Amino acid sequence: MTVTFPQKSLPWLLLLPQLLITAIFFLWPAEQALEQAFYQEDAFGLSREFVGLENFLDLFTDPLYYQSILTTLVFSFSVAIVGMSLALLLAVMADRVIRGKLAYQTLLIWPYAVAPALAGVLWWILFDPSMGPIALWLKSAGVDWNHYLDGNQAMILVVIASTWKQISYNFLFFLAGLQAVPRSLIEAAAIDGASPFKRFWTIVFPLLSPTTFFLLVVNLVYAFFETFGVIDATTKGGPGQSTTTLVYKVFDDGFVGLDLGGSAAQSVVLMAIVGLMTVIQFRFIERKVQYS
Amino acid sequence: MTDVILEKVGKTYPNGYHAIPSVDLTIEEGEFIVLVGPSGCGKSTLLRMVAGLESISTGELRIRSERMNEKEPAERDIAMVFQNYALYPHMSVYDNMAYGLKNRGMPKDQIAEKVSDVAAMLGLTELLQRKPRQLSGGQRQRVAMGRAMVRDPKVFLFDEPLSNLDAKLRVQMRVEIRQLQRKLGTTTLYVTHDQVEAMTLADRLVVLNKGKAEQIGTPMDLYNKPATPFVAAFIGSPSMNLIDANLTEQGIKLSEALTLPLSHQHRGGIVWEFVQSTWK
Repeated sequence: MTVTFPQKSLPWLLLLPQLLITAIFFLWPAEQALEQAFYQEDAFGLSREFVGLENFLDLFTDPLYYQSILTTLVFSFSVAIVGMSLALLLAVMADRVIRGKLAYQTLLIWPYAVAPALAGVLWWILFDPSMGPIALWLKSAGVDWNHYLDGNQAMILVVIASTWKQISYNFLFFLAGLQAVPRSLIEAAAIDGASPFKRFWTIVFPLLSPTTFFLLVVNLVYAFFETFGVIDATTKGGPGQSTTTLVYKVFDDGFVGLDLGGSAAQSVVLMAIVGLMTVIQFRFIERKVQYS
Repeated sequence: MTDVILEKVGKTYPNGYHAIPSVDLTIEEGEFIVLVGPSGCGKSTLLRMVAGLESISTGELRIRSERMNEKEPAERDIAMVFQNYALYPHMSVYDNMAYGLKNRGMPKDQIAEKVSDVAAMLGLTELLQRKPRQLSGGQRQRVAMGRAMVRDPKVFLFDEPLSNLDAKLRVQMRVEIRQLQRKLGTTTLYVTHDQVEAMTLADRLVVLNKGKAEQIGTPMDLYNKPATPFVAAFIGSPSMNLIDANLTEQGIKLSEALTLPLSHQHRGGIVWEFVQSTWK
């Protein structure tokens, strides 16, 4: 639908709030980061020196940076795969519930409304080695839980905390996807002699593939860029660098390590990744597989 | 030989709704039975109960004298054609037709043979590699029938299979379905709300109204001797005239001025036959 405005000023006026927000909170900082990436600045921000591509060269010769890329990939794929599998399982079960359907669905959607930092703190308390109920239970079961010392356990903790929040979102999409599968297809498959298990894997799951692909991209983007709060509240990137994802490293190097130039260079790299992922998202999701 | 027997089959939903009080029906082998009635009369429910997609609340269903009530749909040796065809959208025509055979563990070469035979019979050979979305409505309809036919089931079940086609194609497919059924000799239960379809296809019709079988008989029986006013009004286009009248000693009194004499004995309060010549 096209709306024609009588004069040019009104549409600009209506767009102004959004444009201002984009300019102040995205364009300006992005420009600053881009500029910063080519300078080296002292810790107090009193003087700076143009260093060209040196920040980027440092970055790409730093083994810690590659370590962080690996950490991010492990973390992101774990969050996406664990989160999506559990959400699909829950959606299949919730789809079968007949009595109290709404209550189940509401409860399952709730975690999405919890702020990332709160989710982090919640799991941090549950897993605290000295007083967390889950940590104590694990100890009684013979698992020595201490995510302050064990990098793998720290990774498991941030994956759990981040996944927990994202399951609700995945669940909603899977449930909607399941409900869109025509009943008659399932019935036809039942008459065709497929067991419930086989019906799911040969009929329902392939029909969910557009939803699954969409969620995979969304989950990876989430794990890449939106889990700062969770990581900061639980492990602060540690122990060592074991849970320092790329986004957390930007913060850590810039505001803790006070290497503003290096941090800015990392931001620029991240911006490129975001851009790439957005293109993928639009390319594939805009022309989602259409079944008729 | 009797093939399918419904004995006092009834359906009550968990919410207490009494969809079908009790239906008795005996179907001979190779017979084409059409269930016809207005929307919501329970004809689809009855068909789905035979298929095993709905549970049977009361009574018994037997196919080849074997009780079927507790059997899964797959164990009943039936095949069903759905109103929306229910083709698996992500599978090719070939895979759609082969799916049921694969699930039953038939060897690959036999499946290929079977599918290509049926595809040839239905004129689908050229389309085997296509996906359902690349087919026209009529072609989808054929694939749905092919999927039912490859398995050589004891009973075909059709749930309003032609209602999504345009008028011309519907007439054409009607003829084709009838010819195929004759050729294969498979017992068929066919649901429709279209009385022309019902009258032209059926060996025998079951007219359903509010879950009750109003009349079971051949098309001509129903047309000439409807058992109830409902059947009389439902069958025939334009529909039969129904006139309120009183039954008196002298005959059927339509008004003060006009009384029709009775041809022979009258039954109950309703008289169905009167001498045509009295009109003159």
